[in-house]
Amino acid sequence: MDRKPGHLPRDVRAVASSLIWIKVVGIGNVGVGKTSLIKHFCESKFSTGYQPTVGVDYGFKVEAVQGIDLRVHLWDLSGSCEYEDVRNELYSDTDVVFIVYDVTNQSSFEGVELWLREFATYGNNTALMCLVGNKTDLREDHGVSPLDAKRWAAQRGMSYFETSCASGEGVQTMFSEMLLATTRKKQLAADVSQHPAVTQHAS
Amino acid sequence: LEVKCLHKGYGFTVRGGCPTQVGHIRQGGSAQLAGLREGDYITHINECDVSDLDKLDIAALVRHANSDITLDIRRRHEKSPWQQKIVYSLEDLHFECTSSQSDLTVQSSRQQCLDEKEEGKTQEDSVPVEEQERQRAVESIHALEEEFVTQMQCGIQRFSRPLRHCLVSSRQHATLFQNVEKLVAISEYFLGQLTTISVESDSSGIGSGDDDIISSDIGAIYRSKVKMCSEAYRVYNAGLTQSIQLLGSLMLQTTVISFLQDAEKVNGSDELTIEDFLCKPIQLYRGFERILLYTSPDNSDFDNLQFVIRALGSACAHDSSICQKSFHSVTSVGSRSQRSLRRQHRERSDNLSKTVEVRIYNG
Repeated sequence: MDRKPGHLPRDVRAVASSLIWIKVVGIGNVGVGKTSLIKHFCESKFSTGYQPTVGVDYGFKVEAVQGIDLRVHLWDLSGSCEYEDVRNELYSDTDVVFIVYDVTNQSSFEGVELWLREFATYGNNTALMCLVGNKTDLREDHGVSPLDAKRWAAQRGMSYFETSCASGEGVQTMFSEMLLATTRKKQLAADVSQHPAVTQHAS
Repeated sequence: LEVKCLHKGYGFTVRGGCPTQVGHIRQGGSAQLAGLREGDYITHINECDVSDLDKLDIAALVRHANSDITLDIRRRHEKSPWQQKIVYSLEDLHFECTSSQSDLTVQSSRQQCLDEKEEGKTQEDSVPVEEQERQRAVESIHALEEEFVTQMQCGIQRFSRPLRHCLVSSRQHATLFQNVEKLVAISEYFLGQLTTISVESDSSGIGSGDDDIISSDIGAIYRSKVKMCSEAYRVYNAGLTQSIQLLGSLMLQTTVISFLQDAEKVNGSDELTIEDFLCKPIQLYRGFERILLYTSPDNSDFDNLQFVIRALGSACAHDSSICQKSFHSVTSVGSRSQRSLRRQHRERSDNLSKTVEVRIYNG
């Protein structure tokens, strides 16, 4: 973000309020890699150490989709049942929710159904939903079959992505496509010309 | 202006907060003899600055002072800083909400307050007052959280969001604003829990009228999420020094200064500055200690409360030194000495409230 001195636009707030904010929420069993996905997306970082999320974390990124800069807030929710009530408070007004499972861990895939139910109960039904199989770099023969996952997602009209935060494979694709889909859903593409100010501030 | 009070029953009540005013004066009481008048602002008690304490703390202080007390007061006609500026909007909000709920209760509790200060009252008489005060303390926690969420969201809109797009790098932004979103989310959660309780109490008929929060559970609510809460505040607290230092160095840039001036001017009624915003989190849970003053050790919630207060206290431990330093560094840049003065007042009164707490544990 290189800013020349004196770059300050006339009214920062007027610009800021015209921006498009997208709320993204990541859920899934403990340790499937929700935090890693969000970290990777926001900061292109990956660490192998596991540090469970205490309650909730927050990420932010400006992402250009079809020439529109989207302000993406990412709420990274703990998968622990201890924080179920905290999560439920944060589900409202979500634009995109991605449910993560670990491709090497069958039970995390079985948990996906419960996550869907939790979100359906407490979240807004207008949100775009996706299924994400993470840790593909560790995939073994006896892990979750990608076909099963794909079928599960298709049955519910959700898109399916596979990612690896360690190699970075698929992460950007997943977020871009998710955001693209939600942009289309909000029919923002047609408004590009009406938001010339927005595009001046690409990071 | 100094007022000496000679007897153990002082014969006056207090009202409002920040600064607290003298309420009713008992005819012939020592307060009246000493020349205290209704409406006087109490700034110091026994040379301790109490201008940032509210009436509950002041009442507790006065009540627990075992001998004569010396009050420093200001009269309305005297030009004083307090009349120009309301020092701590938070407390006003609290009293607005308690007093607007039912003037009758306030009136009656003030009366009880007065009674309690009279000589010869026994401990048993004050029990219902304690319960009432506890209820009030619970409401004030609710109000604190509510006010915190509003102010923080305002601060996020005003400072954090615009600055994501200009003037500072994203790394600087992260240093400045840290995990404020998380802190707000936590408070929103607690607020949700407190409100849920109030709804439940209404439907079950336990709640009486406007007192819609069941106080017995507040410690349990906080305790169940104390790990998340104290972790978040520990992180915030640990990074605050750096954040304030960065703010100090950013304030050397004219563009930043003009941005902040613009931002602070918005909605003139609400004067949240960036320093207030950044320091707000570490001040939030100070009001908590008060509830323990009014919770009897037999109460099932006492342990929970004590646990929570200890945990949050350690999470926000070395705050005052940071704030003190920080505001010197910031004030040296801008012409903000008045703000620093306010801060010092606040810290002194915080120390004071700690001694009150200790005293009550011992007694």
